[in-house]
Amino acid sequence: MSTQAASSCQQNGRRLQKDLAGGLLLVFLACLALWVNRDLPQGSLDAIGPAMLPNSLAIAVGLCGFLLLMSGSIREGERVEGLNVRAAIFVILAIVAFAGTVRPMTIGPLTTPGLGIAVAGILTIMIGGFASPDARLKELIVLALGLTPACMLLFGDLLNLPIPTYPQYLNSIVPPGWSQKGILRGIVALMFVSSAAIWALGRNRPRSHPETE
Amino acid sequence: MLKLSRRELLAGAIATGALAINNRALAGAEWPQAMMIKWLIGLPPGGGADAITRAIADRLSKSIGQSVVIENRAGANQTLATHAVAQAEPDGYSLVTFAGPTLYSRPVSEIDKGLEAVSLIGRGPMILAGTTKRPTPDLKSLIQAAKDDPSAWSFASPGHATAPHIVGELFNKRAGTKINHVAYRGGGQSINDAIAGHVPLIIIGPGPSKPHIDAGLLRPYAVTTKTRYSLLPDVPTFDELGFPDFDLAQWNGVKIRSGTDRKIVDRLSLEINRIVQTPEMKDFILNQGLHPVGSTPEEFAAFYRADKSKWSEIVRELGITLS
Amino acid sequence: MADLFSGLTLGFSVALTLQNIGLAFLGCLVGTLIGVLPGVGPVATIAMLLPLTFSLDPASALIMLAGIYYGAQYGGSTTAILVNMPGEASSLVTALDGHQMARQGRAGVALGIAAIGSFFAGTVATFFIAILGTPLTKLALLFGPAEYFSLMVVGLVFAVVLARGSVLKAVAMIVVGILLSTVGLDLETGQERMTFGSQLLLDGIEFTVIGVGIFGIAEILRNLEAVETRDTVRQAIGRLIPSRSEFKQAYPSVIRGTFLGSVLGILPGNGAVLAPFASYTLEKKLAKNSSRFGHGAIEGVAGPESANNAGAQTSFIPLLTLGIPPNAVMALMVGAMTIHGIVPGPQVMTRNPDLFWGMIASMWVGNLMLLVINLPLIGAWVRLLKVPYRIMFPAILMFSCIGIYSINSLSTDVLFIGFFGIIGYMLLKLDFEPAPMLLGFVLGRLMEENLRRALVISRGSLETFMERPVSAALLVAALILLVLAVLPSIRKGRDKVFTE
Repeated sequence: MSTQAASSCQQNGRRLQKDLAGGLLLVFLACLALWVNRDLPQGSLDAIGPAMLPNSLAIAVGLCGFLLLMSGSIREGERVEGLNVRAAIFVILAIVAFAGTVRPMTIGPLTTPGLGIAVAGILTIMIGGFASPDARLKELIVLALGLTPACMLLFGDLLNLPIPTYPQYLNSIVPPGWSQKGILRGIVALMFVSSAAIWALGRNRPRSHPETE
Repeated sequence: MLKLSRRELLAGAIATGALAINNRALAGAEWPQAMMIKWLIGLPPGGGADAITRAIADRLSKSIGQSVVIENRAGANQTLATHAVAQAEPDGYSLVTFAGPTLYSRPVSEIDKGLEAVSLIGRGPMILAGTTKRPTPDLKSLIQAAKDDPSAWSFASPGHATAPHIVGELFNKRAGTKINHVAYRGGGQSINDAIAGHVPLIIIGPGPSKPHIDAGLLRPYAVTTKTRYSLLPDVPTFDELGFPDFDLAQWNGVKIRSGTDRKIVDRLSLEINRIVQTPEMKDFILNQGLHPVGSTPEEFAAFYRADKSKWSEIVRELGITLS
Repeated sequence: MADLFSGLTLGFSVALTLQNIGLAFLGCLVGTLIGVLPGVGPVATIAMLLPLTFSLDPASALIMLAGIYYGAQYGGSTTAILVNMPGEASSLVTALDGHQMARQGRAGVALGIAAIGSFFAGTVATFFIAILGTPLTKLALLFGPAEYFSLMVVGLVFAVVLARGSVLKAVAMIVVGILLSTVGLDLETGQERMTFGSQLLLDGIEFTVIGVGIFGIAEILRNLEAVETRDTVRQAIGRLIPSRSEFKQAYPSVIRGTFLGSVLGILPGNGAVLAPFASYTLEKKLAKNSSRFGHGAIEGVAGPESANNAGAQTSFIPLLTLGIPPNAVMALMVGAMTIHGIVPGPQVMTRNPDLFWGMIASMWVGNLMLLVINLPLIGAWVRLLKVPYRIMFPAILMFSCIGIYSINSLSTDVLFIGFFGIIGYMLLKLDFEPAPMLLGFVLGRLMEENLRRALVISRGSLETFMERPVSAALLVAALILLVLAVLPSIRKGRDKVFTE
């Protein structure tokens, strides 16, 4: 433990110590909570107010933070390692893409169209996939087009969950006589076929170069 | 992954596509799109309003030949659900169940403006009941006991500013008692604690409390509506016992986005009323603690306005802050 | 005893019809399926499948729905072990050692012992319910707000024991967890606390959102960091069935876990939630070498999994004997009963004996089904780990998004898992452990609410916690546990200071 710590602090001498950073985080959190609750009454034991428990907890958090700061400044501890920024950005983007497209979402003056799992799922896999440095485009396309319709079938058709499965506007443009389940199954079949097609295409052609997209 | 030949896949796709064009001939002109009717509830699954909505939705879907899907969007005192429908397209594809009385402090004008009434499903009383471990056989002796030893009494409600909480405080004011309010989160644990006597009194709908009253585990004192609850005909009303302004009910009703085609609103109202009036549904709703009503849109709208002003007056009088 | 025998005979005659066996199987299968998907819980699924059961007779309908519940419970553990993503509080503990076992190439053993332990626990709990269900109802009535508060205090002490590293950091995380649980409308006064004016925070934060975010998404981010860590998960399949020595190591934990879970499950107000934590604490304390815990100790999977399943089973007692639902799934069961015209309450046992005993018998059948479904599946699950991580994680990511969305149909919940994912990643980087925080979060709300209820009832007198015998006993137990938990680490800490 101690040798490891020593080596890591030689490696990144400029980085903040873990305990110091953790302590600061806790103190910040405590102050934030106390500030947010500043207008709430504390109350007394026979009529506890809404702020009594949160404030006491915030003070306890702050105290823990302070103790960590102290121990961090006395002892040399491990340093904070670097964050994997690429992964964080792509994963968050993927989640935001899902949230923004699965159902219409209004952010200020902007309203995103409701595109359902059909689009949201594909986006999540395609964007999220690139969080890994060894992502391969074709593989992700096959995965997205194979897994998304499977989810549509499972959640939308079999379990009947109220989750939008495909773009809303399709409902108003399909010829009369089509039901929602019908459109769903049609799209699913289409996606499965294209996924299999792309997969088969990639397999038949001998790979001449490493796919690094 | 898939070990199918392309030909097999193609055949599968065609077959699925063919299945897609199934008959929707039953769905009349009111719902032309290939979309399901979405019926929102601002409460989690389980519980009376949810059960009633599901039962009605199931029958409604059959009678109008149109799929109806229930979506529980619980949160923020039902306003997440009501707000969503108040902002939906007025195309007749979004409904919402109101489990009333609906009491909130946040401005709800856009909810009231964005929604119009379809039908009042039912309304029913709340019951003041208590543990059988206390030697108070009726309301009169209860009031006396609570005055003699105020610190020994408290009442459970499913939360702050819920109808039972307000009823309890109103009772305190009218009877001159100082019974403490103990807030719970929903019904479950509060019934347990009331039966055991940890909290000697509880105010709750008859749906969850009737089985315990029947089993002799809870003693009913009075119901909050002017009429008695027909499944507990022996329990007197507060009105009969000298509390004339107690006519406070819980209710369930259906609303739709305002501006929806009148034909659709009327059709829905008609179908829901017909369903509510079937003997089987009547029984079901009654067992959930409501007297089945089934009203026209106009009747529900008038009821909603009157109910809202009645409750807000009481809340103002008692000085309870809404959330 | 004769009653019991005739009851069980009646029960098995209901549960063992071809139709009901089929429905139990179907329910368990659907439950396992949705339980395995991260974030998708049994509540939404049971709610949606309710209409399908309208046409069945009530006993059959409930048998199928109960099957979904057991299946989901078990399926959740599979996800926790394989990808470190606990969708429910109950599988949080399983993730601790189960996922470490998976990383060491012992995923099959972890899944196997979980299945076998659960089956044993389920079998015992079934008979426990049959024999003691009715008298135990009285135990539930002993627990009022004061007792609940004290029980939650015991639970928080468990959280300290869960911690692997610094006690100070663990305590900090527990307190942060409780603080997070106070976000939302104050139950008693209706005032908003720490909502930042957002309507979405009025009802507080959903457990699944925090669990999937802080564990699952953060785990993805961590795995993407280094090639080596993620390759260890798929390095070897290993054995699928526990060996004789592993079995010998695990079976006492299974028995203890079963007992703890059975008792805690009876308490209304979701006492079952404590069962896996209690079992983990007990196992860690009893182990000769407690440092193995958190690094793939088989007892840390066997005990909590058994406790969890036993608790899930006995939590039917308040429902069956009193008609009081202890959690959201049980509330749905009540809904299902009423839809079928059965009034849930104390009279179910006498008025609908076929339903009462049929359900009890079906519990055992359901557990058997789970074993039948899951033992063969273990091989498939473990093979799933061989899928390259670059393909695996986008799939996990999408399943999580869909699952979270399906809980409440809120896109913002999906955004929140991203937010908590980043928070969880930062915590990992700073050596804070997420498990104590989640436990603090789960227990915090129950603790505050019951504390305040108890004080309203006692008119502000703290003595109520010591005057009531059950509550006093629990508080003393908490104190003893705390001393036991903290002492060794203080001593160790001092040793470390000296050696350094």
